[in-house]
Amino acid sequence: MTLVDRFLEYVKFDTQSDELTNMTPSTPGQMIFAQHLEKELHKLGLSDISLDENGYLMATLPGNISDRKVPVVGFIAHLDTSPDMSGRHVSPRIVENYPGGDIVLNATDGITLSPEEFPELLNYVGQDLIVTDGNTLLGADDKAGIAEIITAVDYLMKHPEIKHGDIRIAFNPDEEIGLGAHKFDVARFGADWAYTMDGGEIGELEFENFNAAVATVTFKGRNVHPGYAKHKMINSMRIANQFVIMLPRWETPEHTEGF
Amino acid sequence: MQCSVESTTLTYIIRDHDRDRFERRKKELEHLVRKINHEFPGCCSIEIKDQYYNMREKIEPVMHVVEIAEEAMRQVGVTPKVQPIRGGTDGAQLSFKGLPCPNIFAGGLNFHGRYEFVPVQSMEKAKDVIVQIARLVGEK
Ligand SMILES: [Zn+2]
Repeated sequence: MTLVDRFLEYVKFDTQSDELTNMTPSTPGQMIFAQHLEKELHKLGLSDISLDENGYLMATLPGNISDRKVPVVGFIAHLDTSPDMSGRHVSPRIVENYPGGDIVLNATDGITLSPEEFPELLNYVGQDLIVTDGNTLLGADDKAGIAEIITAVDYLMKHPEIKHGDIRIAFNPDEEIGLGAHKFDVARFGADWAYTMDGGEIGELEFENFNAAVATVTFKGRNVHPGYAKHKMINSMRIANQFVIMLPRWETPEHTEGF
Repeated sequence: MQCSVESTTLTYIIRDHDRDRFERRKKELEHLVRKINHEFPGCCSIEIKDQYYNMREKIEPVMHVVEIAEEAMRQVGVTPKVQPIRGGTDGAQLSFKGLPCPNIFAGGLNFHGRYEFVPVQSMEKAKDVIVQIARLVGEK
């Protein structure tokens, strides 16, 4: 099976995650997809294949270097797609040898992928682009990552002349709702280090992100009838307003710096 | 912002890639709460929840992990573009769980919407990068 065939097969699985279910995986489609991948990994002949009840699928490509110790490297991708847009009935199309210009995704609804809106398109003239039919997301985030990892492992198995250590791979649920790492058993994975195959454009390499925190500030007022207690009534909104005014400008969400 | 005469709640998102500045900004908010309470005793309270930290502090001690990825990319004809991630990622959280984990391109663009697309050639290169990393680690 080729890389593209794999990808086109994977996007057929609806694995949209959902912040509100409080389950792991957050949606049953992710487990169905994980079970499908588990079968594929068995067919490829990988070792230590395990899928836990939370939807974390792991496997090993055993190394072929026996005369010395080689670090264990991992590759990770996520099963789910964004809650922002439907991933049901994804109907991808390959635009071969993209000539530049508009790509009509959906003639009926007049949905067009245009370089005017997305100038990065022009970096890919002459290449083959997999696009949607305009009704759903595509799910390259992160089924491209899954297809790449499995195809790479498949390639290494067919090319034993390439010497490598143990390779661990993992596919996890619920990255898009911020929970992908929560139940990830790092000890069970057992890699010295790993890479998530979850970036965007070709060449991207990331090892820095924001520190992030949420602060909730609560102001309690005292709702005393104004007629009785002129000086005792404190309106919480007024105190909050004072707080906002005292706060340095750059601390408000509108002014936080971005990358 | 949620409010009534009796109770008002403000929610702030604090983001900074520098850990010291990040901690300082949280302290400033706490300081301000104390100031308000000085004037209106017991009126103001704050709860700060850290969501994620910059993985850089976990990657820096093991920079060869990044260097191998860069080398692998160059060897398969891809120019590495090192850049910060906007949100938190699995990789950031895993790095803090003891598994250093940079993020590599999968090739797609316009994530999370109908305009998402992926060039086949980028996917092929990502696959090549994985193979090359395996080879490089085996050679070291
Ligand atoms: Zn992703």
